[in-house]
Amino acid sequence: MELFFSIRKNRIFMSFVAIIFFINLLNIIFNTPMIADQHWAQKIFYVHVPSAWVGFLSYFVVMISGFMLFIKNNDNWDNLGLAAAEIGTFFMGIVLITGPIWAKPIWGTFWIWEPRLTTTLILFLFYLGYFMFRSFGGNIERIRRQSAALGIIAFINVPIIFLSVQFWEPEIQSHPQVEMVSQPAGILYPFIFSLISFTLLFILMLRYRSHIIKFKNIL
Amino acid sequence: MGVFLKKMFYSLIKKELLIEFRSKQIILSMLIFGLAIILIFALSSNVSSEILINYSAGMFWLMSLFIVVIGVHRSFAYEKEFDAFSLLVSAPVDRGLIFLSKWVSGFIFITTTQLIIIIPFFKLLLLDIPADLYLFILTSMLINLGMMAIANLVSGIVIRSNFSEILLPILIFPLLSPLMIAATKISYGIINSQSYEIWNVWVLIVISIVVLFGLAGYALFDFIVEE
Amino acid sequence: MLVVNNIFKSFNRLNILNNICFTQNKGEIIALMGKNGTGKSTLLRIVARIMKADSGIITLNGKDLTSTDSRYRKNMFYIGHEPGLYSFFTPRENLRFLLNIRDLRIKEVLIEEKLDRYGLIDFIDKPIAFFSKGMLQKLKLVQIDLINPDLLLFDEPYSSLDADGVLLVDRLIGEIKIQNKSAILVLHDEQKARKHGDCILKLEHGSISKKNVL
Repeated sequence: MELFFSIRKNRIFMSFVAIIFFINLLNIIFNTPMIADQHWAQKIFYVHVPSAWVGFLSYFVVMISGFMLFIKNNDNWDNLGLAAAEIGTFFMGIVLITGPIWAKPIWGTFWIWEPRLTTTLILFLFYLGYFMFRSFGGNIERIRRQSAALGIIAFINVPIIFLSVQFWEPEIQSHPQVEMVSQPAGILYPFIFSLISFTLLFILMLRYRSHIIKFKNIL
Repeated sequence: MGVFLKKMFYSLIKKELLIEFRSKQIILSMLIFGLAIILIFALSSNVSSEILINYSAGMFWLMSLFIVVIGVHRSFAYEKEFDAFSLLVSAPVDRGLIFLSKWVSGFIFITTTQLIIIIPFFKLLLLDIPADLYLFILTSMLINLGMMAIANLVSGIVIRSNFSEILLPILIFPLLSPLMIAATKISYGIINSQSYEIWNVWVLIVISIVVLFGLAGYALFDFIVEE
Repeated sequence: MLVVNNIFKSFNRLNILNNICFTQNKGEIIALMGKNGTGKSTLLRIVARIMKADSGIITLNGKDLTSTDSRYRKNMFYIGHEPGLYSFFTPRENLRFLLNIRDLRIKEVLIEEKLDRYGLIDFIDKPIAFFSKGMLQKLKLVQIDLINPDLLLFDEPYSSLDADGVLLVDRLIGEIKIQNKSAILVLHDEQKARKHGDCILKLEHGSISKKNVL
């Protein structure tokens, strides 16, 4: 089995993603407008929201991988699911760090139990348990199937978690992210570009990590 | 076929209830642990009853959450003892029915425990018993269905694992978060005699959790019980 | 007829079973032998669908045993190292539960008769938590006798038994043969294997290394 970056198309894709991401960072730092009351903190928005998007997308992939493992009974789906779970948890961690940093200048407090952050925290904690289960659960062949079930259960719970928290304290303002549709081009286009670059990064990381896991299993 | 399934289901439920009737381990351990939790609540909350009444719903469900973990873990421990789980899994029994029987019997156990513990809970915390106690109990039963569906599904997953007693609460608590929010809101509304319109949306959330996880448990159990 | 095809199984990536293939005709008794850790119990648990194989197919009378239809498991019965019972139940209750989940209508008097046959009648209403290993092993024999499956999967039938118990097992297997029922028995004693088995399968390094037709 070849090393991931010894394959030419992977090297090209990685270079492409690296360039796009670098442009994105420069764009965020130098090109996006400063919002009067938020200053530099608002720029975290261009990292925070795409990270959340990647996190939830990852967990969606975990769920789909779970279904496919049951249907196809092919271990590659577990490799994909595990890779997606790791990446998703990493990005959810970024959300939980950047969210409070952004929130502090706006709300005067690092944490508030608003729906998105709370849903993120719940999923993050659940997936820490998921990794514990995978480590302590016993023989890997059984763990694969049961982890698939956990991934499915976790994601089907997401809309319920979100709705519950939203109804929980309706007077709590949502995390300060503005309605994207009504944004001027100066904010909207960099945001979309950031979203795309994070998605490409996710695809690269997913492919790379699945490859490594498959490699590790063979060894 | 339907008659066969019904008969199978009744046999499984009867087994669960008979074991508990014989051993009394599940309800007794949930009850004693619940009382211990109430004691700690009472000793560690240094607030007046006017303030405590605002927290009583949350405390009730926090206690219920802890005792559910004990009860569900014990329920599956019976199956591991003489490897009775292998007997069930290898038998011509629809495996979804095993989940359903655990779900229903677990619901009976937690509801029974709550019925016993509810008066001591309010009295030891020096609170008035809710005026609409029957409504409190009815809604608690609905919430118990949701709790038991999730708890039994996760327990079925971790039963064969090492450190299952640690993994169970770690995995269950995040999943039960929306149910805990709903339970607290409903119970708070009843304790404070709020009108139904204020908390009815939470009842709908609980019903959707019950349906979703009931179906998920029935469908997934076959895939998770094999070694 | 039982057909086992291309069964692979690993534990933590350690191959236990490698491409296991064999066929068992109706009425045939297979003695499954091999050193400790060669996968005998694993193979039996896979056939019983307690354990999932990594790949392969098992059919019984043309029906895929790996399917989710539980009815296909009706005519087979697995007994492992553990009794597969509930410690708080008495033998009577355990057996009644076992029969109910198999939809077998058997009169109480027959249960008592079988327990008497295996020397357990005095303990019929005592919880099995207090039973010795030998008594639990005999209770397994009662289960088999009552259920009378078309295919019996029995892991170490002679384990923990005294001389009388050994004779009871011999008699039970003899009756299985007379009724033209099939069985796969995990055995360590070659003498017993030759006595009871129509065929010996020897598992070595995860594969069937030797198949003696007796």
